[in-house]
Amino acid sequence: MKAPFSTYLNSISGAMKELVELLRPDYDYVSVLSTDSPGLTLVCSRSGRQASHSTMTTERGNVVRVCRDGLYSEYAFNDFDRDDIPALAGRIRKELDAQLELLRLTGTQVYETGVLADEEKELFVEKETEVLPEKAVVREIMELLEEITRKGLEASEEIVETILRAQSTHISKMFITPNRYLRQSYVYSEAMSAVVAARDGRNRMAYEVVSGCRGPEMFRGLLDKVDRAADMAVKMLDAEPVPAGTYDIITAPDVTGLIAHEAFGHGVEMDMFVKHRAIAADHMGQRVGSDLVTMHEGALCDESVTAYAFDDEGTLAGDVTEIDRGILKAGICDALAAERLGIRPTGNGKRQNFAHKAYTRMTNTVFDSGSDSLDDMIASIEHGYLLQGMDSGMEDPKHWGIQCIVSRGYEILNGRLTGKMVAPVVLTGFVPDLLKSVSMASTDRVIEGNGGCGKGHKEWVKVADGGPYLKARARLG
Amino acid sequence: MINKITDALRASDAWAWELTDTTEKDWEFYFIRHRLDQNRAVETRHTSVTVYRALEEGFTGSAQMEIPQGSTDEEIRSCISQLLTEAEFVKNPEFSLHGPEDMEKEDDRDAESGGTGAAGEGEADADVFRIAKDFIETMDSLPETDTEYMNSYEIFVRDITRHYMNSRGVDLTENYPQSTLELVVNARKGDKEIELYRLPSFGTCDAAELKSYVTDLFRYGRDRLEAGPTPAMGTADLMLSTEDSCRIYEYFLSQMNAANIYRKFSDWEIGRSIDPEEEMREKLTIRQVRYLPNSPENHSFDSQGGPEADRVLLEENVPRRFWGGRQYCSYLGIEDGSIVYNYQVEGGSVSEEELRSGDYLEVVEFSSFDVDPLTGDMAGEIRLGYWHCGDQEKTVTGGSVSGNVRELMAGLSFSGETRQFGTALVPAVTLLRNVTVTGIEDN
Repeated sequence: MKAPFSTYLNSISGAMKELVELLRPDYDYVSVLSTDSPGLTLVCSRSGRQASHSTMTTERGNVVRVCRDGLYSEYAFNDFDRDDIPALAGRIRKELDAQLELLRLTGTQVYETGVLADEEKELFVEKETEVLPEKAVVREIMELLEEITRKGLEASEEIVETILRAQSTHISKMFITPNRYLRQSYVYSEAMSAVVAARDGRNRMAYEVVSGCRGPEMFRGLLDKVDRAADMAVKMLDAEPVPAGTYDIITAPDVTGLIAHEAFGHGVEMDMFVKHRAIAADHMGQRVGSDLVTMHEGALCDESVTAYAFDDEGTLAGDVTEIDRGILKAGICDALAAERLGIRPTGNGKRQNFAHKAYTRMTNTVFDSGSDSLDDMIASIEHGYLLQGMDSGMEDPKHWGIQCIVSRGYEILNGRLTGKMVAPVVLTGFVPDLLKSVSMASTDRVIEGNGGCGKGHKEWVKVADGGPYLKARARLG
Repeated sequence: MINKITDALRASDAWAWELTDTTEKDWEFYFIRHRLDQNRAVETRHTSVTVYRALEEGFTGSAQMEIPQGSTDEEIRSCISQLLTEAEFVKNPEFSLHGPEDMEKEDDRDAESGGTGAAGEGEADADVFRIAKDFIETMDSLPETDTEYMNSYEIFVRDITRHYMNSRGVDLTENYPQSTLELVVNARKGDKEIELYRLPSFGTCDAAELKSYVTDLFRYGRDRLEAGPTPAMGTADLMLSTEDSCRIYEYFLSQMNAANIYRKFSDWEIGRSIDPEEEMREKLTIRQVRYLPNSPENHSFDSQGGPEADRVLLEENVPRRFWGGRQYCSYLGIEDGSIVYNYQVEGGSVSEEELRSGDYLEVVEFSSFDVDPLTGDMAGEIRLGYWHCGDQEKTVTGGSVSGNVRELMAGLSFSGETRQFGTALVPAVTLLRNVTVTGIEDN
């Protein structure tokens, strides 16, 4: 079935068009983004259950963007009388004028920006799904989660908790300018089974995930995965820290994705070019990885949790080849940064929600596959580690440092996995050194989009990343 | 709309209910260097409802939803009906919500001598115009030079009104200011330029505090330009003197969270020392405090109407009281527990000067210093550190620190002097011994 576009947004589309027309005489540019995205979160564990209709991306609200004399201003709201749009327009003018008065009092100079293009376009997209989160039968899903939870808890006496978190969101967004009228509707879902094992006061956690541009029907996929999470959590109780040093490594697809995300995801967000915060701006056309490194970024790259048709600034989704066989080719860009840099936006202007500013943000960030088998990759290593389990990462676009915290590593000695596990593992290094060391890539590829991505330490949005198994050389601690 | 919702809740079959209505007015200003990139105003209202239904003896079910603004009576009734249906399948052991009598309880008497303020003290007027003006003017008067300066910054000023009601008759409202700054500092020497990043939060603008904070960043920036590679030192004593030290103490707080106790993620017990072999160098005392000067989170009640108060949580290494949301506190028999927003770690027995007398690696800038609240694993890539070895001080960058707080806590020391970082009043200097340091230069 098609995920139906929000009836609420359809019902206010006339009012929002009226708002654009009322503000138009006062400003050089006017747009409105309206959102209505209901969702469902269910949590099931040994110690409790929760049901909520909030997810990371549930929202209903509007944001008006205007430009006058080179200054862009925004007003976000979710409480208004749709029968009195002139009053709303007056409220917006009054609030933004009050801010301008403050800026006048403080003698603030403006970073002037040109007027955004407003090319004519009408678009209506409804993507396929089986189940809508707002219509999902909570009883059925909770019974499934209970079954998975039981399976996890029964796997070992050392498992103290299994937490199932399943979320689904039905995104509807509408973008209006004098010349553009874009509407889209799709459902994405994600779920995680986190298994916690404990011994003598020491805890270890392992998890498995599912995610994609589909409905809650995908949660069933965790039923076959929870055993693996339980097995890993128990084995991690015996894991020792990795001896600090530089090793040959193989990154599992989730760790490959983390590297893609932190290295040349954040590294080529071009709003950072405007602020001179990204070293990549000085290395376009230069080698930053081995010939095996090709990286794509864009909402069109995969039917993932962030597979939208247009971004939060009304730019159509894209697919950018950031690195082509080791050569840095392009970055990604929101509309305002593109205007400042004199290039076209790439469909990467995203907001945490309607109340937040749009920044250049990632969508799907993925390494291309290669031609090697995982067995051959393992056989090629004398002493190293297969790294699996993405915990967290941190970008450093200014200096190309990278920090990836990986939940575990499997020791490889003389071309074989020894069965010994190290945990946790901190991978650090200089991004081009890491990518230039990539010497093998597997034929398969996995992309997942669980959790959220911040810019710095805020502005959380959905992203997905992944790739194949990669062999490289890296510093571990 | 609140009256419509409460009327519908009272007329429903709900066994109990909670309603939270949050109104925010935010003013935001984004700067590139000192030129305005964008200004934003946000006026939002969010009304959230949780309904509970009685299930079999000793159990209850619940479900939660935000009611969209402008909903009609019929739409509100439909939302509540849906939640009641769903609640049947969300079964938990029964617990009672806070009642009006809970707000009348006094602060923990043991905390009175160490507490930092009384309930109701110190709330500031949340005037976004005035607060934003103070921030803009302060940021415009920083001691910048040609080689140390602001790359960019973002100012967020919020005027928040929070209204909590429940079916037991609790009806509480509070209004407070909250401010956050994103600060990106550059330092430059010739063609080499580095940056430092911070995201501090405050109540309102304290110009002197902010200038002092950014001046430290300028100094760190200058030093990072001169930093050499971190030696492969194997292990070292790690000193933390920035807000990263809070991550260490938050691990101890997480061990006393009622949900973590109930889930068996923590084996700490009330009255049983966390250091039975008495191996720890310092005795740790941590308090929940209702008020800290200019904290962004000075609340009189938590998200479920639990009263905020000054309470001793950990006293000289002995847990005295667990904390958390109503549900898990109730399961543990804690009737007057609440969520910790502000906390205070009592200073140690030695001075900062004494702690700085040995060899140590002081890291003031990480990519991100993380401590896993579940496992105690900690890690961070070093962006700027000072390696003090004998009489030498060497600025270093690169490599990482790692370890496990639980395993390293015997060697934890902290200064008698304290310093506030947003919601935390903590020792000015924290030292962890024998932390693994992965360098990028062989010794």
